[in-house]
Amino acid sequence: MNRRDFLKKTFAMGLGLGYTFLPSSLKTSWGSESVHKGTPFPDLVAVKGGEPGEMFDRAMSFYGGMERFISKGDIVAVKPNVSWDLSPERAGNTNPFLVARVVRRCIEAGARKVYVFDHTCSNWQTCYSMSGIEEAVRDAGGIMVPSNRSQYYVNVDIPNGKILKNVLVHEVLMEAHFFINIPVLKHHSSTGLSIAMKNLMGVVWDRQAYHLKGLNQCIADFCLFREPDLNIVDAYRVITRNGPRGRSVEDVVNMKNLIISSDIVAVDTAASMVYGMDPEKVKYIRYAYENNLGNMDLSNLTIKKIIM
Amino acid sequence: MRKKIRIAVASFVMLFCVIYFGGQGTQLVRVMGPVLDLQFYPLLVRTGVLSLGFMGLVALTLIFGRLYCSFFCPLGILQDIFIFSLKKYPGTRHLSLREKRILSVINLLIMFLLFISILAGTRVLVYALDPYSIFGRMMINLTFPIVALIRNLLTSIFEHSGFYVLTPVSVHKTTAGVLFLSFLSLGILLFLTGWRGRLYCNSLCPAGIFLGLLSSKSLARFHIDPEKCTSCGNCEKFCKADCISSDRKEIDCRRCVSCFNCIDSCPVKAISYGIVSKEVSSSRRAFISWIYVFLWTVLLAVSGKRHSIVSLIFSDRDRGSDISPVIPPGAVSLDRLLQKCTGCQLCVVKCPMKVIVPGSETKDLRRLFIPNLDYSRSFCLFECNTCTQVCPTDALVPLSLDVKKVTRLGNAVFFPERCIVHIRETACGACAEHCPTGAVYMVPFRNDLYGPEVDTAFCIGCGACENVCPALPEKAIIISPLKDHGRAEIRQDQIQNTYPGTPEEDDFPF
Repeated sequence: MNRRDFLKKTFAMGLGLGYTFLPSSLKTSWGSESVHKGTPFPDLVAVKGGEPGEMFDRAMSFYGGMERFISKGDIVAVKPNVSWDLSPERAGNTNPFLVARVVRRCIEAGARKVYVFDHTCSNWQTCYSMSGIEEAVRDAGGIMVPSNRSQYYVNVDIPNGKILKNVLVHEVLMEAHFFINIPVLKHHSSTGLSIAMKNLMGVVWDRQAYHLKGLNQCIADFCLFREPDLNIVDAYRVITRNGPRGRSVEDVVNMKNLIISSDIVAVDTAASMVYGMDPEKVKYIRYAYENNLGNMDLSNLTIKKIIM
Repeated sequence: MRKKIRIAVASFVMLFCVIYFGGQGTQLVRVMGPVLDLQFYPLLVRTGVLSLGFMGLVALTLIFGRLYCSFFCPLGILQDIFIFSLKKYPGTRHLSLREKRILSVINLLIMFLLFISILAGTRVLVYALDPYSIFGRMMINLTFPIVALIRNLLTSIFEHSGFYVLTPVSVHKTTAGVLFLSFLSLGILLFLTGWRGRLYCNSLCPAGIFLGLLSSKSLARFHIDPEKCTSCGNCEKFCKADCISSDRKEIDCRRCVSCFNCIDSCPVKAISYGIVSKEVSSSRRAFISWIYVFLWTVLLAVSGKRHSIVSLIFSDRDRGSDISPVIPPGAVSLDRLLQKCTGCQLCVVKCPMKVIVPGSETKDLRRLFIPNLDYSRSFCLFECNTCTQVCPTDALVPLSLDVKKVTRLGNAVFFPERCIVHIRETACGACAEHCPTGAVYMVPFRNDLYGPEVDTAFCIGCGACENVCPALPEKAIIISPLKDHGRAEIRQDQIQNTYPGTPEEDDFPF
């Protein structure tokens, strides 16, 4: 740690500490949906400049560690982005090293079972293997769950949903005590960006219904059913054009960022700013904010920023 | 001893075929591929009559007799299993003269039909009778769905207890025609084996008849020593091919499938297998039998050619009135596929996307069991060339993954008047998302919306766009099939990819 880092960290910690001493009325006016309000932890942690696994560990050290969230014997559902039959360099899927590290930390924290799944866009077996996620998760002690049959999905109602009133959700999600969302940040040809909320399209069976009813609103409405307990945005390698699949490695930029938060709106807002896109242009973020799902104004959050 | 060798070899071939046709994996291709490649029709269709491989098979039969039918043919072995487990040997009751006449009429009739159909420009009849392909169709359409059902039930049971050890498999879509044909083949086969053993092999099977004609001239043959033989009839009881007459102490080598059952069954060791001086047959019979061989050779030769005589004169390209299908990668052209595909449907069962359907619901009988791609069900996986790797007849030529990725099966056609973005003014873009080549891409439409656009130069016709398009009742993007496959360009993005944001090197934008 050089002097500059030290100063920054001290400053950041100061901010964090300062936040905890703020009158609680001030804090709850923003982030009222936050699950862990009044804790000595920041609302959002952003890390930059490290390797995926290391950035995650570093971020979690300021976020209370996995032990803060997971109790012994819990069943954990992990939802990375495994949409495409692409190798890790193409960045169409979440970084396998990051997924593996998250799984390992869950198990270390006492999780009984860690299920990892995604309703892939392409052939599920090819996606699971080509993304490197299957192997990484197995080595880390997690369980890859198939998602290619409608039998795995259960119908749930979303009474508050504006246009998405009911949806078929993967059974693993219904069973899990704790739900971790690990999206990859990438360009998306019709929603602008694919981040945390967009990634949740992979826990439902009928994606075509989203497209038919209205993509952005459906993405925002789904979170009314269940928000992830923790969002970990992988912005290590980022597709910046021709997304969400990308055509070649030319479409990928090394950003080496990682953002974590329990607030899905805040994490999407922060990630789109890291990407360099106005969050207002990513319509589902605004819709989710209107659904009272979280914060779009980052200046009202305590943010821990780490540069490695 | 030789019977035991036959059983060992046959069991091995059968075991392999069952595993290979009944499963998903393609790991066995390299190790076991030759077993399929050397089957009669795959060999003939792939390499032609004058090839070394086929001539080798002919020479082998001329020397040793019809070993192929008992050692190597999966359908022959399957019949042996039927016969063995049903304990139904033709037995000592001989066919009456009338029955024999009927059979030879059927035999002639089939040959006549085969000739006519080939001259008419289709081999569908030949391939419908090809033993290897019949076996494949029965395995894939009758056995595999049951295996898959059991496997999926087991998978579900395991998964409900939290064990994700098995993976579920999906079953291909089939057509009524193919299903009917498979059941019909099974029915006919069960009936014929139950009635008179290997009767199919000697009356319906084009390979069996041809090899039979050759083996009637073979060097090594089964022979009854008239001195030793007591005409006890024991050998007849175990003869599957119904070819021994113990009264006359004769073996009809044309019908014999070389199973070696008779040698083991003879109590006085009167039957031997080896080189014997041929009994002199009447010159007229010999002449007819050579005419037969000649005709069959011509038949087989013509069926190995790319174009039949008639289709050379009358091009059948414009004849098909109904819509042509999307045909699998490696097929090169519909004409070629129609000539080369024997309908064993290995590609159907091996396709991980289960997009290949084993036949068309058309009036065009030529396409009864020709595989085609159904994009309403699934799409052709970009990172996959499995079907081109498993085809034993080269109807789908082996393509490397790089070549397959630029092989164009059809062209995407976009209908804006059906598109969600255009009629509902809401974001969609499912087609462009799924397009692996960049042929479908999003361009600014209106009000911050993006709408799809197609550049067919890059389109490979994989059907991902068509498959995912949510538009109802008709898809807004569909693949227009190509009768002759083309080659797509690889899209190169000219503009340098720049980091879209401008955050400082060491800070966050918030």
